[in-house]
This record gives sequence, C-alpha cells and structure tokens, in this order.
Amino acid sequence: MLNKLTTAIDLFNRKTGEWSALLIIPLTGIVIYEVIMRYVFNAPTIWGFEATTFIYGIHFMLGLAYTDLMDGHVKVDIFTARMKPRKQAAMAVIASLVIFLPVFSCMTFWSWSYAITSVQQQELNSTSWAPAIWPIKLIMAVSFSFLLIQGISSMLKAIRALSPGNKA
Amino acid sequence: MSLEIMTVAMFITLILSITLGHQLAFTLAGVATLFGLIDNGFNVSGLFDMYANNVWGLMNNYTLVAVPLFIFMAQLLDQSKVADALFESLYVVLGGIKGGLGLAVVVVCTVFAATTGIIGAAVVAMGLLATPALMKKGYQKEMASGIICASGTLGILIPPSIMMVIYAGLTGIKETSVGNLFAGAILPGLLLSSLYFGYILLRCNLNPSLGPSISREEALKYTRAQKIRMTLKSLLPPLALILMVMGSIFAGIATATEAAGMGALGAFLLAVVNRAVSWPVIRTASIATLKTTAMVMLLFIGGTFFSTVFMSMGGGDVVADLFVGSGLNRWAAFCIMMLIIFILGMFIDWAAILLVTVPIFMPVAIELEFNPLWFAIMMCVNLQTSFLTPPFGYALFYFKGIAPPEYTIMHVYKGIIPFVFIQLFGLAILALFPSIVTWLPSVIFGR
Repeated sequence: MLNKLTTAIDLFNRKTGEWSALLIIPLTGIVIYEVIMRYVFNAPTIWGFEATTFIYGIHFMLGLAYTDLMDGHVKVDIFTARMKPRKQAAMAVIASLVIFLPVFSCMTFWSWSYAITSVQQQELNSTSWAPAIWPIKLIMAVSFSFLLIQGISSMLKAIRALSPGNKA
Repeated sequence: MSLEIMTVAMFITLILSITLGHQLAFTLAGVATLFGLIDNGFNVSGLFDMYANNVWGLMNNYTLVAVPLFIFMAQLLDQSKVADALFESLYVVLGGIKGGLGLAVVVVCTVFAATTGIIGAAVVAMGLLATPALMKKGYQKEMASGIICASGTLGILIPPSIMMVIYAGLTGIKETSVGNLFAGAILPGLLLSSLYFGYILLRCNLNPSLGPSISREEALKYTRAQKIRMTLKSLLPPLALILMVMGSIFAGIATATEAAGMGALGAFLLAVVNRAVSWPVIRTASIATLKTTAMVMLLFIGGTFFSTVFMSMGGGDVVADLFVGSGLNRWAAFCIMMLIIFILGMFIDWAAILLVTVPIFMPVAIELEFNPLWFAIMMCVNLQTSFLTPPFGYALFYFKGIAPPEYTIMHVYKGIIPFVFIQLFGLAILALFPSIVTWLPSVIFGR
C-alpha cells in the first residue's frame, strides 16, 4: 500500500518536473522576442517583462519537488556519508520529522491561505499590462504541496529501508 | 534570552543541524523557523505569512531570471562541443612545451569560463575531455587533478557567472549591480588564471616528470600556419558568444537577463552549426537546467528565510557591533570576515555561503567604508577556494566522479593544495591593489 503511494508520488513528480523543465524554452523565447522588439523594431511590448518573471517563477517553483526526487538539493553529508545505509536512513527519517515536515507543512498551509486571499480579491498586478497574479500565487501553493508530498514519499522510503525485513 | 545569546545560538544551531545531512535549504528554513518563532512569541501565522511574501518576492525578482538562462546557455554550450575543438587545437599548439597540456586546460577553461556560469558542467566537461590526454602523456596524477579542478572552477568567477547574478539579487544596490560585478570580476578572474598558468609552467619546467611535453612528431605534425588556422577557427565561436553577451551588457544596451537569453540563443545556434542539436539533446539540457535552477532557488528560499529572521531579530546589529563598535581595526575585521568565508567554504556550498553571509557582511563592509564592489569581488574570489578545500570541495567530487579509477581522492586532495594557496595569493594581491577590481567598471560604466 505504502509502496504504491511512494511510487505514485515519485512518478507524478517526475512527470511534472520533466514537463516544467520545458518552460525554459518559452522563457528564453520571450526574452529574445522582447530584445528584438525593443532594440530592432524599437517597439517594446508591455507584457514582456512581467511574462518573463512569471514563467521564471513557475519554472523554478515547479522544479523544487522534481529536484528533491532526483536528490539534486545540496546536502552537507560529511558525517552521514560514512554511516551504514540503515543509520543513514534513520538520520533521514529524524531530519524529516524534526525539520522538513513541520516547516513545510506550515509553509504549504500558509502559501494556500496566501493564494486564496489573492484569488478572493481577484488580484491584478499594478502595472500597465495589469495581468492577474492570483494564478501565479496558486502555482506557488501547488508547488509547495508537491514538494511536501515528495518529502513525505522520501521519508516513507527511508522508513522502509529501516525495517528489519529489508536487506538493502 | 538576550539578543547576543540568540544570535550566537542561531548560528550554533545551524552548524549543528547541518551535520544531520538533511537538505541544506530545509535546514536553513528549519533553524529560521525555530528562532523566528522564539523571537516573535510563537506567532506561527505571522512568520509563515512573511515567508510566503519572501517567496513571492523571489518569484518576481527580475535580476534572478538570468540564473536559469545562464544555466541553460551553459548546458547548450556543453552539448555544442566547441570546447573539444579548442582543446584539440591547443593540444598541438601548446603541447610541445613542458606542462603544455596543462596550460591548454587553463586556456580552454578561461575561455569557456567566460561563456558559462556554472562549475559542475565545466569541471565534468574538462575532466572528460582532458584527463585521458593528460594520463596518456604521463602527467602526475596530483598535478592533473589540481589543474582540472582549479581551472574548471574559474567558470563561476569569470563572467558571466550566476554567482554574480545571485550576489546582485541579494544586495539590490547600484554599486553591486550585475553589470558592475561582471566588469569587476574580469581582471581578478584573468589574474587567477594567469597565476595558474605561471605556476604550471614553472613547476613542469623545474620537474618535467610532472607534466611532460608531447612527442616531437606529434608537435610537428602540423605547420605553423595550420596551427594558427586551427586555433582561430576554434576560438572564434566562443569569442563571438562572449562578445555578444558581455558586450551588450557593458554597452548598456541590454540587461543581464536579456544578455543571458541572447547567450542561450547563441549557444543553441553554435550547437546547430556543429550538428549537435536534436530533441533529446534539448530535453536533456532543459532537465539539467531545471535541476540546477531549482537547487539554487530552494537554497535562495531557505537562505532568505534565515537572513530575514536573523535581521528582524536584530542579529545584524549584533554582528555590526562586534565588527564596528568594538573598535576593531577595519582590516582585522576584513580578515575575520574572509576567514569565516574560507572556513565555511570547507563545509558548505558557495550559494548557501553567499545567501547567509552577504546580508550580514555587506552592511558591515559598507559601515567600515570598504568599496562595496571591491568587497563583493573579494568574497567571490575567496569562494573559489570553497570548491577546492576538503573535506567538502564540490569540484573535487565532480572530478572524482568522472576521473579514471587510478585517481584516488588522496591524489585529488594533494593536487589542489598548491592551487588553494595560489587563490589566497590572488586574494592578497587584490587586497593590495584594489584597482584591479574597480578600474574596469569605472572605465566601462564611467563612475
């Protein structure tokens, strides 16, 4: 049962990451388009600047969970690297319980409340283009949720590595 | 609890909890949360609302948009195989002199340092490219690993570099804008690379067994005209890219973010010309870009939480009092700050060091009337050591990951020691002659 859960979470975050990674292409594209419009045709867009930052924000936020799944976030494993795998797993479980889960459960909860406030106000950016920014704030909350479930999945896998029946 | 005790306790807690081996960004956020709650009387909602605002601020930071773009540019360039061509031509041009292949590595890394902004890719690419050649010619293993690790690390100092983009994003003051930092880092970067060059030349001439030259037949296979043509042909594409990216920033016609986008386009076109583009290649480059970007940005999130709590608690004033109020000589204060960065560099990755120390040290440096731009570059040059100093030198790990099995971690550790000393020597030169840093920005931006 838990096996299925972690496999599902991992698969979901892997796919999400692989798709969000492609956002770098429109991001680069818009920056280039804006440069050409401004410097070649002397006709800057009113949306280029904001569209750029929005895509950049969505890109890295959606990438957080994927990078965690791929073990890409920096760790200082100077002491833990020399431990036996079971001890390493124990340390990972403790760290998740004490640090990750409390902080990022709260972070997820309050980022949802932050986003919902924005949705209720139908918040727009105070610029001449004035795009809606509540969808971006929703993505922020969604991204933290993905990171949270990825952390839970990693912890469950560490617990599994701890159980006596496991040879690894 | 008094403010002083809280400040010290926050750092000690950070250092102790780092040893748990948890993701560093999570640990930073965790320590920030603990002390933030103690400081604000356990107002959980207040603290996390502030965090949400912090993250939203990062998502809207236009300067930092250059981070993924420069990383993407480096990934595409890595695929374009232009470094291979340059190394091959320098192999025959410089190979004839003692230590020549090592010198070729330094030159290739210096040129590509100017086109890429990340070190992982540079060390891996250079390691894969040069290690077999160095081994075949019988280079001493310590020497070979030192050359590759130290030169590969130049990528993050010589602009464009995401280290400078992050620095600018952290400070947000005019003196340390991306453009100023890029201009300021050029000569110090070239200084380090010439020091490496000189060192290798000297050592290999004193003791040719460290780095023998290639055989006469191999060196004389090409005529001088052929050699010149080969070098020019392989140097032209990267130089054109550098000119496009740096030129548009320095001429003031494009922001660093725009220049990064154009650089990514340029790298893509180079890869197209070299017939290295396919959908799987682009997909691989995109995924590698996302991983590096998300890694840096999560550290940014954790680091921002940490420094916001630290500052709102008043920790910044405690540190400033310690350095400024205590009547400490300003150069002594400077040396202590540099020493702290050097020591942190043995354990923590450069981005985390910047994120924690810049918000604290920068106001102190300004208070002590150090030139902010010069101080920023000193920190960045100092951070070069963080890639090489054991036990935690990231360049060493990247290199060990791809080096042939004959290379033990001890070879690598021994090999980098002289280069760390050269870096510190370079730092001392910049302290004695600060105009090496400030001259170029003043010429370019006319301040």
